[in-house]
Amino acid sequence: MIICPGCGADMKFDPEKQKLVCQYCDKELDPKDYRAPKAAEASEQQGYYTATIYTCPQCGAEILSTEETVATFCSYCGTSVILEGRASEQERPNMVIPFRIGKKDAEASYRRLVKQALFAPNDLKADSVIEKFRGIYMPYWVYSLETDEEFKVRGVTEVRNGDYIEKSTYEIKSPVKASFEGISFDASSGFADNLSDAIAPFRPKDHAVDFDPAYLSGYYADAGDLSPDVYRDDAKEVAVDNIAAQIQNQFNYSKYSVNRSDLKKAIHYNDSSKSALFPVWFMSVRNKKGDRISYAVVNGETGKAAAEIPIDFKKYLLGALLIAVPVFVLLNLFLTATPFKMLLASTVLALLSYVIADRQLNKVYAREMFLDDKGKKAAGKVPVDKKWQEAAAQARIPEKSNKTLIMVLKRMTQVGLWIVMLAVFLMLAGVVASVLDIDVSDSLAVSTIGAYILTTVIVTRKVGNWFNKKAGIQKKEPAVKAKSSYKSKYLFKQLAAVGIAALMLVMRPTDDYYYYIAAGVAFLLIVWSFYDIIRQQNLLTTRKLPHLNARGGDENA
Amino acid sequence: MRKHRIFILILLAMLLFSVSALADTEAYTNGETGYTALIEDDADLLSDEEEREVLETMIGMTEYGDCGLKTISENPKSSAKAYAEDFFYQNFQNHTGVAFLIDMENRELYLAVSDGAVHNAITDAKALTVVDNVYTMASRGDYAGTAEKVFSQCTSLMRGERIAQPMKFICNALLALIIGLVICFEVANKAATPGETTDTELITAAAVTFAAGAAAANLVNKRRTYSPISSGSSGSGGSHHSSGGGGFHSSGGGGGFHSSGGGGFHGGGGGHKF
Ligand SMILES: [Zn+2]
Ligand SMILES: [Zn+2]
Repeated sequence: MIICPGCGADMKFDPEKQKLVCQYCDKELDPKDYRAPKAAEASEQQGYYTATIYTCPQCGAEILSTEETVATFCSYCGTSVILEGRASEQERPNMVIPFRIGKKDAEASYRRLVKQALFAPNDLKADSVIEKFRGIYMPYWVYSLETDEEFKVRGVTEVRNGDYIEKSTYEIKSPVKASFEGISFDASSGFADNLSDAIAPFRPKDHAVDFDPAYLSGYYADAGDLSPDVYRDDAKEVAVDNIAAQIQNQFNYSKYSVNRSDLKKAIHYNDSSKSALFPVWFMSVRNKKGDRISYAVVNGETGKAAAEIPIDFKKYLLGALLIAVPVFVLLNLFLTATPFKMLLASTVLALLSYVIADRQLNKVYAREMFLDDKGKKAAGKVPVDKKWQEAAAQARIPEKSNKTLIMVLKRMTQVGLWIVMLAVFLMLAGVVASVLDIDVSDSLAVSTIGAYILTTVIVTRKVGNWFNKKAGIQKKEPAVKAKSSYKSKYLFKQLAAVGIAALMLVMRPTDDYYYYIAAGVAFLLIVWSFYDIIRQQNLLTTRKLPHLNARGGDENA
Repeated sequence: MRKHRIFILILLAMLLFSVSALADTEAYTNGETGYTALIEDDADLLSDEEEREVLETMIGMTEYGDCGLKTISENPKSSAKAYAEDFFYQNFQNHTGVAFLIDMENRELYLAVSDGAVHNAITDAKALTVVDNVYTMASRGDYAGTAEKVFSQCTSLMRGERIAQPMKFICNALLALIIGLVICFEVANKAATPGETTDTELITAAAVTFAAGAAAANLVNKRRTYSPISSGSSGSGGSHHSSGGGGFHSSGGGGGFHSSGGGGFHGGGGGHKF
């Protein structure tokens, strides 16, 4: 707590003035000129400062404050409770970017974001929720990287020569001396990767100053629990991309794929990764049921906002109906429903829904297992649910393999399979046509091609997996592919819709009503599948409440 | 030769048969408009009584154009459509009106519609609907009812009235709802997920020094792609078939087409198996 030299009241750091301002007499003071009381000075010289740690009894999250205020709610789990505080000595970070965006501006930035989200629940727009934005200094690691080695990248030139375009690929070798200072990643496992990624970057080179506890006055800070090792590789990736681009640009080559793992070896760390506190406005909202939470954050330096915004199902349905009305009118004007067209439409839409749902289920799977969050993984956090714990244990990290012969064999076998299966299906179609005495018409051709593609994809994938096993290769990204047993609970609807349509096209009853009823059932299945998709989407934009047991074991012991 | 004699006998019998079939006709001419209604029941699907009843319903249509009903048990033409269009062209000189064919060989119904005002009222889509609404009657064997309903629907359409299409509305409504769901999901998805910061953005926040020494570039691979300059600025390489050339075939859009049978039928229509 900083006391006003004029009147003895509280002083807080003001983002607009970049000064400490007295809450009572408006006296201003530059944080650099502020002198801590004698007692604190001793510990300061040893690299520590005094702060109160508030621990949430619900989720175990810890936030720091230099003031003797009372924290009445937890930002990480949204619990309204008076947090227990205890005094502690905290390690001084190397630098801090003081808040430059005030609370009102942060709220405005967030309001603009939710305004665009048409289907956001009203809760997210309520003043009582928005005023819960809390200024938290988040711990970051600021990496500094350098290299002085020969880099090999590929570049492409395109030259026109008469009626021909000559495309030449070059391997460029270039000695590079480069340094990167200020690529930063957050050091708190409570601050989700996707959110910190969304409000990046912070610009320490422009706004960072030497740390002084005075900047914390009026704000909170997260203690941080991650070592600089966690995001080292990510920092390297950023540098590698930049070096490759610079080499390619320099010689007017257009971009070409770059072998990152090779290049990464050529980049070294200065051991002096610096610890920093960067300003983040942080807010959390629980869903109606109260079992999940979504976060909104605003970059306290630049004002960039990011939020996880669930979809209100009623609003979504209303929106869909509003769009459906003009679409219905247009359809009646320009499209005459025929049984074949309707079945075709249901098949196409079912496949579209399948693709959307499949992509989403993979994401949900990764999210619930914390596979998309390096910070949580590194902090030893594990999913709360048993089923996710088991799945996480099974997910393995991919390994590279150089068994090229097996890979070539695999490709050849897969191509061979496509051809053999094509022949088999053409024959089958012929047999079916002659047995059922139907002419080989469009619908039979369409269903044959569909069945061919479907089975061939499945068979070649199985064969590919077998070869991978032989070669000792894991799937490229085993972690983010959800298990099919998990997905099938959701994806059967789309598959059933396609199946119904295919069945009708093969059976070809005379009465149109069968086709229309089949198409209608398929359409209803697709509508149902979209209900699932929205529910999955809401899993992606909310999180399980952070849980005491989910915290890594002994980091604060 | 005996074989020849048998052949000639068969031919004669067929001729007689077809003459008797040809005789199975009913006709009516509208005194005011001069348009005619014609029934040729070659497949003998209708009794005389039924033919008269069907002709009654066709009279309404003669206010707007010629109106023909043809039933056949054998179709020498490539399709029901081709036959129906030829039938219309050969029997009606006004080139305005409709012809409905019941093709028992292909078990197909086809409603041919001439170009112009009639086609404006009975579009290809409507013609399809008209036939869709009756094919169940045809498969039950109620050919008179089928024909009557076709012509009464045509007359309604010419009068600007609507014809029923309940299943289509239901399907279109569901289809529209799904399209709405898809569009709304895309909108919601864009707004709901936090964006990602690119590596290029991240690097702008860092202090970078970069110095590259003399570089050596080795050619790894060279590919020539044919891309004539005249083909424009696309330069995408790949398969360049000079697609710009070739004559202009007026594809004619939805409406007027030329019947391949040389009959010169303009218009459209719709059909259905039964
Ligand atoms: Zn004061
Ligand atoms: Zn909490």
